[in-house]
Amino acid sequence: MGGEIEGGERRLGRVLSFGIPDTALGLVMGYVEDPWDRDAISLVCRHWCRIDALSRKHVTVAMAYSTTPERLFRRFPCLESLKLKAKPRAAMFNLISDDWGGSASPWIRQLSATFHFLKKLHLRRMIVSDDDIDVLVRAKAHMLVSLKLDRCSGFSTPSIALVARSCRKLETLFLEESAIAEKENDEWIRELATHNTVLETLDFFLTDLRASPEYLTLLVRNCQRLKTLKISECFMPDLVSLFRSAQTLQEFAGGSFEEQGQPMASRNYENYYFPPSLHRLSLLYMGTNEMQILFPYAAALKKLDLQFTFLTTEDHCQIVQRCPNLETLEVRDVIGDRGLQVVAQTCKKLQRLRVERGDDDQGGLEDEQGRISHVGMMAIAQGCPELTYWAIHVSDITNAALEAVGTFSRNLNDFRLVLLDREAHITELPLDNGVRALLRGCTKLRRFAFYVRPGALSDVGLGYVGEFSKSVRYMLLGNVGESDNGIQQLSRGCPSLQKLELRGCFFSEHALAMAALQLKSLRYLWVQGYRASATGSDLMAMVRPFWNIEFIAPEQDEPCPEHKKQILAYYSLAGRRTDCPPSVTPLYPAF
Amino acid sequence: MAADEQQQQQTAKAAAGRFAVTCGQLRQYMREQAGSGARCLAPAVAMGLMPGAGGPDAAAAADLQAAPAPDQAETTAVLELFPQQAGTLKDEQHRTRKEPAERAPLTIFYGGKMVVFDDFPAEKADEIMQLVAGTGNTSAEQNNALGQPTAGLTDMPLARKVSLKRFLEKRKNRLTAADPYPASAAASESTTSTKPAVKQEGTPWLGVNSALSLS
Repeated sequence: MGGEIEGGERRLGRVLSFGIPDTALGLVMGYVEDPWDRDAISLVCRHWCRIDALSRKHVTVAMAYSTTPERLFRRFPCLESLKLKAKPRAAMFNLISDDWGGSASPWIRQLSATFHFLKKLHLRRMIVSDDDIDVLVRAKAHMLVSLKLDRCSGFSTPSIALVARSCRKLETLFLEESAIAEKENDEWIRELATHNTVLETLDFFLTDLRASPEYLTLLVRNCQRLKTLKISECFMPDLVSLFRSAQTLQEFAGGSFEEQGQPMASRNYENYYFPPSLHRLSLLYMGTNEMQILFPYAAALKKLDLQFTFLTTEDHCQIVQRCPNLETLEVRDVIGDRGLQVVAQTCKKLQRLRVERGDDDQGGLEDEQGRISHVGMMAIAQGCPELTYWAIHVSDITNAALEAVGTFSRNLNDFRLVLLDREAHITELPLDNGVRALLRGCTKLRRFAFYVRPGALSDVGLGYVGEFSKSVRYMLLGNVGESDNGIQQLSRGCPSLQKLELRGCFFSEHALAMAALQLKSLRYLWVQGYRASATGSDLMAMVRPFWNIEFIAPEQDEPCPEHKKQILAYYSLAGRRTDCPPSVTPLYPAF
Repeated sequence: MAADEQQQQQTAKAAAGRFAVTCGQLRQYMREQAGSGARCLAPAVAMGLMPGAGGPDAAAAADLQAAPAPDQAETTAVLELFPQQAGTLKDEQHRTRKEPAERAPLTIFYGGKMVVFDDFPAEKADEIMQLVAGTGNTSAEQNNALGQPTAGLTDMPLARKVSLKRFLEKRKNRLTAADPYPASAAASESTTSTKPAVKQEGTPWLGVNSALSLS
């Protein structure tokens, strides 16, 4: 029986392959790197699925609990690069408790026993223990080219030291925003500086790690190919010799303009040296008196991150007007409408713009002019037509601003808008028509976030979202809709929607369940803020095979407040989670 | 006449303006009742009733502060001017009518400040409730059909990204260090943490990874 089926398969495969031998087919497929195309290829027939599997170099598992390490290995035994993500995105906003899960241990055990070609590993929002790193290093040290522990936690500096001295081929060490326990201060950077000569990227930005300027300079001298160096706080005057030695450096982040514990002394940064190759910068705690450090290099800058600076609105204007070649700009909303107008006039090549939320707590308002409205939005839409990524926090908005985005920002593939709580009164609500115009105009949009307030997007508006977001794969909606009607209308459309996050929308459990069943591409749903039924049973309306449903009560000690409860649902071939903490209750499968 | 004036003021800012007027009237009443025992507490935890309503309305609220009176222990009846759940104002009136005496304590939360009045006459309290019912509630109803989503603004504050939160704490510490009047900074610091789930950062930039440590 097996032989017959195999023969039949091979014949079918041969027919579909036009007689091309498997090796050739694999080589041809090798040129296809886009995972969506690869997905399509693998669905043609079993034969092609197998060849795709053997020739696939990289896989991203967007939700680590959606499969098991063994299954992954069985399908992709020749994998060279793997990216895993576990905790919900909400973890970056402190909405997920520390014990939620996402341990890398089962994955690392599998990787170390098998996956003989693995050179690159990227773990994002996962728990990685010192033991895990030990196991990984023992198995893969001779091959590891890239290790990224991205917003992870659970390990300490001796493990980094172990990686540094054992992985001599390491070209990328990325630890950005991870929570790392610091044991012996400088050991890890000393090991890295003295054992590695091929490093191209070192990133421990936004961690609490410390590295002495001496060892950093030694590293830069030894690693002639270093392109990206993103560090934590380090006094800028101490980095002078580092920059003198870094002739290939293209990107730098970190530093600091204050000596630890010392009062601020005014220094002259007018003639601070950066290598001519340096085009991407993010300087921590730069203030008005220090921003002159940028001026000689501003014209060459392609990426500038001012999110972690102490600059005023006027300062932002002063800097940005000197940067006509910017492709990426990241700021807080202290830049104000005025600053955005300067951006619109100056940065014609801008592709990525992020305007983050600054300090708007009581008494914390950063600058009189430090707020964004439809004025700034319209300026950017009209002035920066090359934008592909645009994330913005606004204090006020109109439909016309969103319409302008739809008209002018035709290249957008990722648009995220948050309407802050600052103003009691918004100039124009609801924003139904503006959102419709935006979605109709931005035909390339793949990711869309619209986090507003009650009354900003009606049920009709949600209907527009459903109708006109044809290619959108990821959506975050906050405080939208008026009633269950809204989510119902949304779910009739959104044909490509794979990942949906809802917060503060207060749809009923039943409506959410129905929507999940309607959205034909949906594979991941996260909700916080919904009208819970007495027993949570309404949610069971969306029970179906391979659809894991979990209830999360972030505060497990008291009865969970209504607005804190979370639902997480996702397709999984792994069955029910076996490592649920008390705060996570699997509703389906039940066992 | 006064009603007409109020009509004109409506065109500009809706709820905020009307409420400011209401508070102005209350302020006037309190001045007439000078010595009735009104007392003002220090800025309490913001109820978020009017998020972001600063400027002139906050000034109106500040006027409600009477001269500090000696501390008096009493039970306060909370007047829910913006009911959190769908319901009628009548329910609120029924609730407050549980007090048998003609005079009862009145507490008002406005613009991040809290004002407590002891022995507030019941008829005047009713007057205020009627005034607010006729003006303040309409915007809440406009915004949502269910009444429930109003809770969204107050119960579900916008979450902050961890990286930026840590930076803004650092910025606040820096400003506090430079501030010759630390008392005001301490008051504002106590109001910044909005979610109990968030662990206090301590000294985030000195190696304490408190954001991700278990309790």
